[in-house]
Amino acid sequence: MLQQLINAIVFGSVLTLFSLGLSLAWGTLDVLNLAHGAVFVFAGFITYELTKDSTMSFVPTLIVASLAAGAVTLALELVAFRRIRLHFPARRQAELSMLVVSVGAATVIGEVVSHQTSEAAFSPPASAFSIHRYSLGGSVGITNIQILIVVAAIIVAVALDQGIRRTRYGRAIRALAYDPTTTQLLGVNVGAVAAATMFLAGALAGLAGVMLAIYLGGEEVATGQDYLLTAFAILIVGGVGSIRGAIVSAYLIALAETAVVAYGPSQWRDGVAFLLILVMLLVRPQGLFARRRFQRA
Amino acid sequence: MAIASISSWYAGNETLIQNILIYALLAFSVQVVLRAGVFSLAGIGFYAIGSYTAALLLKKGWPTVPSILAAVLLCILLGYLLALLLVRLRDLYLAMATVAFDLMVGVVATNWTGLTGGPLGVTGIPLVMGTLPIFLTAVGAMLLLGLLQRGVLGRSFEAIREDEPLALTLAIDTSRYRHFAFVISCVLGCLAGAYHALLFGTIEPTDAGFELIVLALSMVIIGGFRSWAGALLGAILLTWLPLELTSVGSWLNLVYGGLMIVLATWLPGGLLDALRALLRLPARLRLLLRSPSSLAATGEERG
Amino acid sequence: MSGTDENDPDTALQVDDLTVRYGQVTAVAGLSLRVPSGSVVAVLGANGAGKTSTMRALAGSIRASIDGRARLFGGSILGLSAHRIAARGMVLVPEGRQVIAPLTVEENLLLGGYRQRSRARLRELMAECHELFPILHERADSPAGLLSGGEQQMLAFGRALMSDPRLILMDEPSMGLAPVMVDRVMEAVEALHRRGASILMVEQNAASALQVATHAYVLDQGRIVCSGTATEVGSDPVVAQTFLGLREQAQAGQAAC
Repeated sequence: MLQQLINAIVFGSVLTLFSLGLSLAWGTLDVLNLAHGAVFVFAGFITYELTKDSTMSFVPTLIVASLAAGAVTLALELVAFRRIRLHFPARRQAELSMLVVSVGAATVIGEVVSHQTSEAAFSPPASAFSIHRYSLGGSVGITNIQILIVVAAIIVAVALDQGIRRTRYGRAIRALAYDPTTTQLLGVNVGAVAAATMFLAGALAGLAGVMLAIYLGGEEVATGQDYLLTAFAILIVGGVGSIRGAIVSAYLIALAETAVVAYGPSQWRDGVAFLLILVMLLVRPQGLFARRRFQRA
Repeated sequence: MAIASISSWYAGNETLIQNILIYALLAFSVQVVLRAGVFSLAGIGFYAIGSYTAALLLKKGWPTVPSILAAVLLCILLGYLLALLLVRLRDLYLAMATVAFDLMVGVVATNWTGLTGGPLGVTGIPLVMGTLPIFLTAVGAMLLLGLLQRGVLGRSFEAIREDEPLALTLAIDTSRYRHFAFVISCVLGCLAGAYHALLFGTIEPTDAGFELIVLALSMVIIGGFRSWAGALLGAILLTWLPLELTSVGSWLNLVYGGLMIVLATWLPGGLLDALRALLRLPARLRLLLRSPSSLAATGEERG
Repeated sequence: MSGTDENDPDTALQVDDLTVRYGQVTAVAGLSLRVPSGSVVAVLGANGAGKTSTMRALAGSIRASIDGRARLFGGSILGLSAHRIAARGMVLVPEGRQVIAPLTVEENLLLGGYRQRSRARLRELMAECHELFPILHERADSPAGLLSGGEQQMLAFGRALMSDPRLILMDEPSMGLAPVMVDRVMEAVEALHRRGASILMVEQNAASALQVATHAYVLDQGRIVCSGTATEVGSDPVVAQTFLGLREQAQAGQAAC
């Protein structure tokens, strides 16, 4: 029971790291980034490449892989999303085009990774991070990578939440989400803020990707899609663009899925997320934690 | 002589043609909704529902036509119910909900072992389908979609896509049109799935997964989402190219992905639009030579 | 009026031959105007005269093709991005106020001061804002979207003030407001002027605008048809009749156009 709870919290932490970036991109820039899962796996792949010959230690690997993931997402922003936002003033057309671009990018990234890994699951060597297990009495225990994941998720979640609420950059992001034209009139370099936001979103996916590759001992291209779908459920339950909503619902869904696997019909685990999406969209499409919404005239 | 060579070519490429027709139906199911501004990818879920329904009924001893008809009726019913459920959703939310629906269908197909055969899928389906019925269905679908693109109906769909509040003020019953497009999409997806199952004899629960969503969307976007002809072009290219470009082999998906990025960013009308622009080029050049300012004044835009 | 001297210290903004076209449609056709330093210049004109296009083009916030020249304190600004123009000390208070509704009043003001790096300077500006517009202090923590139209206009002014601008462009500040609020808005314009900013304002409400303006232009179908000091323009018979609806002045006044 306690062990299940620990597992759920660790899983929820990975989901938090993963879905915060997705929520940020959708909430501020109308990008439903279906390449987010591929970027996440890409970071795991970079980890594998950097550590397979035991040349790089953990912390530099973590940093390089996260930055690489951020850079890939930034490249998408600069090559495609920025241009689409400028040239397709109709919001619906822009959203569709950005969605399509992200599908294309997911294909490209996934294809590159699966080629380099011969379409098999890839595992960073054990030497990349030496895992210790601390016993908490009986058969219950927690490993150092699990602790690291939870701590990283808490730090990132608090920093992002406070950053968005209280800093100058955070205000610019929220203003941009509501009205980019006016925000730029006020002296905000909207293009730079958007680029920084996408970079951050990608780097967060990367961070989650590296940690998960070490924690699970391996990843494959399909891993990204599984996480993407769970993250959809998190966004919908938490409310798109709501940082706190995403954090709370990440842990809720992790608990629900862990419970289904441990005590229920475990093969229906994937069904939990989809069912939640459908139910939430029907009952409360603005999400559990959405605040007052202002519609722009 | 000519007839003989055509028929021998046909014999050598029958599977390719069948595949193109089936994928065209699937691509139509995505195109018909996108054109109306409804971001639904539910057609892929109905591909699975259609294939299972028709195949299982056929294996129970139902005749071919009633099996397919039953699958279509079920899809109309389910499609209408889903449309009612999702009526409040727009844009990205709808896209996400319908993707979730598709994957949910996959989960059910994998886990409801008693009905669907579970992860192993369905095998030994009688091969009762020929090319002609599929061809006729595809032509019928093209006629229907062509009709939907023209006249009052076509303009209404366009109005809904471009500006739904405005369309409402023009007394266009937008939700009725949206439902209509949605159900048509479900039926086309359903037919594609049913034909595929009855033509090739096997179903796996993973057939209609994320990859099929990506493939169908790629066809429509690469070909051009504004017209059924674009969807058809996409279906032909993406079914035929992999066979031709065996040297590129497994890098082909990379090409599709790159093409989708490029087209969505620079050419949202897809290859069909590019083709049309190319055909118009001589006329435009003549116009340009006669009065250079008439073209220069249009299309100028500052970023 | 044609003072095109590059570094004329008396000129805040010099616009020459501004043309704005949307595809085939010309919204502004060769407009020229000058905002002397420390003045309040009103551009009057009916709906569709090209007022908003002019303002948006000057502020760099438009999707159209633009020709001509605009110099802000001697530096060319046409074609620059909106945020770069804002960085040069010119801020636009857009039509319809455009407050960022989900952000609080205080956050809107801080956003206005986005380019102020010094916290001390931000605090000074904030205090000044609160002094000029006490309502912004009272409602500091409520979402801007919940303010009334008049209060939102005050917020839009305050937000502009937070950037410590040398020139403020105002697009129809009185639009959609009750007559009482229109007077309050014009008082606020005067207050911003006294504080030292030059102001370029477009208005349909000519009578109110001419009360606070020092200079005025009349814009019709994308062209300047009349210009002069506010008094001259206000007493021109054609202007009086067309824009002010004042019949006796129309008969008595001197022609400025």
